[in-house]
Amino acid sequence: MSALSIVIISLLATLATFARVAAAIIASIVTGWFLGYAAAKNGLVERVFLSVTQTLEAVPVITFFPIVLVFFISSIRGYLGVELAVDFLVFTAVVWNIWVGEYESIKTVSQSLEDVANMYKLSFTAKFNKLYIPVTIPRVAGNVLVSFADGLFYITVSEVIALGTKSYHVFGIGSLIFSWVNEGTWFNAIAALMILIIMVTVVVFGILRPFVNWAVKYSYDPYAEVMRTGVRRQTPSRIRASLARNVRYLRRITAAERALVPTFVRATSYAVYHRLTVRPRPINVLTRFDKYIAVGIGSLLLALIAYGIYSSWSTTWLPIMINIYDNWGIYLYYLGLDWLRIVLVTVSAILIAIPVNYLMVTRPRLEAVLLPILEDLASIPVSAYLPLVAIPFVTYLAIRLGLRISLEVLVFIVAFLSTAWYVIYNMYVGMKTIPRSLWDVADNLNLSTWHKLTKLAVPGAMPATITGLASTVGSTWGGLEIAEYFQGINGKVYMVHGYTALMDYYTATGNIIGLEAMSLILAINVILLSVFLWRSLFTTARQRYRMEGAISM
Amino acid sequence: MDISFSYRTERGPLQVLRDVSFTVYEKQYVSIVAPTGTGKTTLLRIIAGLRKPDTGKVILMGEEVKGPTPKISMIFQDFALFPWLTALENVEIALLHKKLSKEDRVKLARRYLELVGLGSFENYYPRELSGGMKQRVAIARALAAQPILLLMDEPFANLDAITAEGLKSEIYSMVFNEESTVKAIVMVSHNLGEVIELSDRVIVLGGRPATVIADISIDLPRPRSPRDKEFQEYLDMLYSEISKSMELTTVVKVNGK
Repeated sequence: MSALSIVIISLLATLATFARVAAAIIASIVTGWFLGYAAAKNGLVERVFLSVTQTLEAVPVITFFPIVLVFFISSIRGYLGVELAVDFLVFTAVVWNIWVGEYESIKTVSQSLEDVANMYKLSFTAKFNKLYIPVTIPRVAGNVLVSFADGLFYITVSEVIALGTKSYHVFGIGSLIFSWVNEGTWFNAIAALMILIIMVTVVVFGILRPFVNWAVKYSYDPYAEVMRTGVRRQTPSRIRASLARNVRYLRRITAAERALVPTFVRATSYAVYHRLTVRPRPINVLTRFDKYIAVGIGSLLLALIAYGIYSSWSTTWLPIMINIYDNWGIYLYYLGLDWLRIVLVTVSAILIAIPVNYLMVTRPRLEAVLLPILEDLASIPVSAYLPLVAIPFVTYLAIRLGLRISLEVLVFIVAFLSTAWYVIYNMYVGMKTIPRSLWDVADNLNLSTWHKLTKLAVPGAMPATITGLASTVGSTWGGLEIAEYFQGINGKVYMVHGYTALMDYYTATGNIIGLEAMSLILAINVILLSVFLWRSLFTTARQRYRMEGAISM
Repeated sequence: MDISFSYRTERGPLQVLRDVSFTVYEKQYVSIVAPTGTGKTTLLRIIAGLRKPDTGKVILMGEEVKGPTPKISMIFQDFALFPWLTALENVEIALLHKKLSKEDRVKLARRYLELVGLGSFENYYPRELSGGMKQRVAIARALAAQPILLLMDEPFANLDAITAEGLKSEIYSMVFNEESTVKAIVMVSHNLGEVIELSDRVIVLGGRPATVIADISIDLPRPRSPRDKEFQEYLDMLYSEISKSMELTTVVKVNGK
């Protein structure tokens, strides 16, 4: 294969993959406008929307992928079925953040802007165009970069999947790298990876960052300080005028930015900040009867989703129950092992994030260099370069440390790489939003670095860190899933003891009953966590650590 | 007008306004003053048709106000400008319901921006304007709707003292002139000085639920100066009415327990 054709194929494959992610993100944004609006305006829809999204937000989608795949393949045969399954997976990976963000934006829209729209009798379309859609833009921008990274991560894994003896794949950069690695055509695989990295950089810096910068003008802050202005000339055409205006506006904003705050962070900050500080309007008051109906509909919807997936290929629940009964010990043991890994990864990510962020927040120069690098790294999916990263671990290190320990280290590193960015970001936002005056007080009182950390930086960063934890854990699951069980470059399969490893094994051997049983246990686990852990954590984070008037972005 | 209103809360209805009734005549600048939390803004929103009262109705020139209408235009404390629209586009919002051609709409909007003295700022975004300019855009928008009644919810509260002074001295001539369709103004404020400076009549609300406890005409020639003796007398009178209304609130609370 000539070098040129390798480049062209890789380029096309990357474009195909990006197209899937872009389609999923756009679909989420557009559906979110209507759903978010309906939920913000109608108490009944609101309850259903909240309970469904809050539960599904914390689901590690990837672990359910084989089941989704079977569902799509059995209902739509051929390539299209696989394609739709992949698209659906990406959609579920990116959608919740975006939907919740849009709902919260519409819910917290300024009362006076809404009054103006009503007073001047704006039509429904005009209200949407002039008010409800613009108001969601900053939050969408805040989520779009994370969604892009998330979507890429999941898509590169899901483009190839082996179910029993059959292997399914769609054309894309993930499947391309996978197949070249499998064939042992090294140069090609590395070239493709390079092209992916370049393209990610192009998208992040060429499309997403300008988008986020542009989105700033949509945030409603009536008391904002006046910005540097210049006199405008009249521009002829309407479109050109508005284009020129936006460009000039953009320039002026970037010029006005005192410190170089990287876009990703600014966007994420806005999302987290908005979630933490905007006074939520109370959920619409409902009668007790309506509440029961809402809870009923919510549960029914969730049950329907579950049933729809299961019923497509399983006629009875009995075998699943028998499977769980027979193997519950090992399932729970493995589940425990994976949770142990997750806790380890999360704790070490937090421990590393504290000094890194402290240095960045207190040293602007370091910040200016480090943050853009982190931004770009975060968007390059670990799943794409895992086969390459794994090489030393199954060769040299396997001999030095023993295969078991070496694989364990690999799992830790991969899970860490798929999580750490988000922990760092969330905490960065927290530290960055600590009011300047508090830092000044700390300096003024001559606090030691240790005291600044323990009394100011860490507690100040808590709400943002905690709020991000649920989705962080979701990413850790993704990392575990790809690293606990993988095919090395020599064609050998490596696995450790772990829940997702066993699921992967079941997938590969076509043990559908076992897979179903494990998905069910995982689903219950996730729902229990969301009900008992995350919700109360969020509430505490919001109420106890909330800081008023923290930042202006 | 005869209004009662309660909020539906999780703990059951909470009545905030009871039998509030007054009439506003042509060419009158009426101010409503009351302690915080009395429901002044709620009352304005009811008058504007943005909220439905529990009982009673708002009558505008013989017709009942049944919902929001451009005939009653409102100016907000936080300016309520759409940050993603330019000054001109913000004014155009008030004209969208009129089914004008784009050109006519722009022309009209421009005229009102010029009226408030912002002719050269039409392409600026709210973020790029100072507080006083923002409120001028909001005034232009409210006037562009060609309302009969103009409502103002603490219009000067978020401006610095000097800007507020400037705008106050101009507002009367901006609103009551040949180009304007406004027949009357109702303003909510807690700044008693500004109320006396601007209004023909002051209505004091008090108690919980709130009722009208005083209705005072201000007969002073314009422009008015806070240094005048008469101005000070009115101020003292208002203060005593307000403190009476506060006592009323406390008494009701005590009885409530």
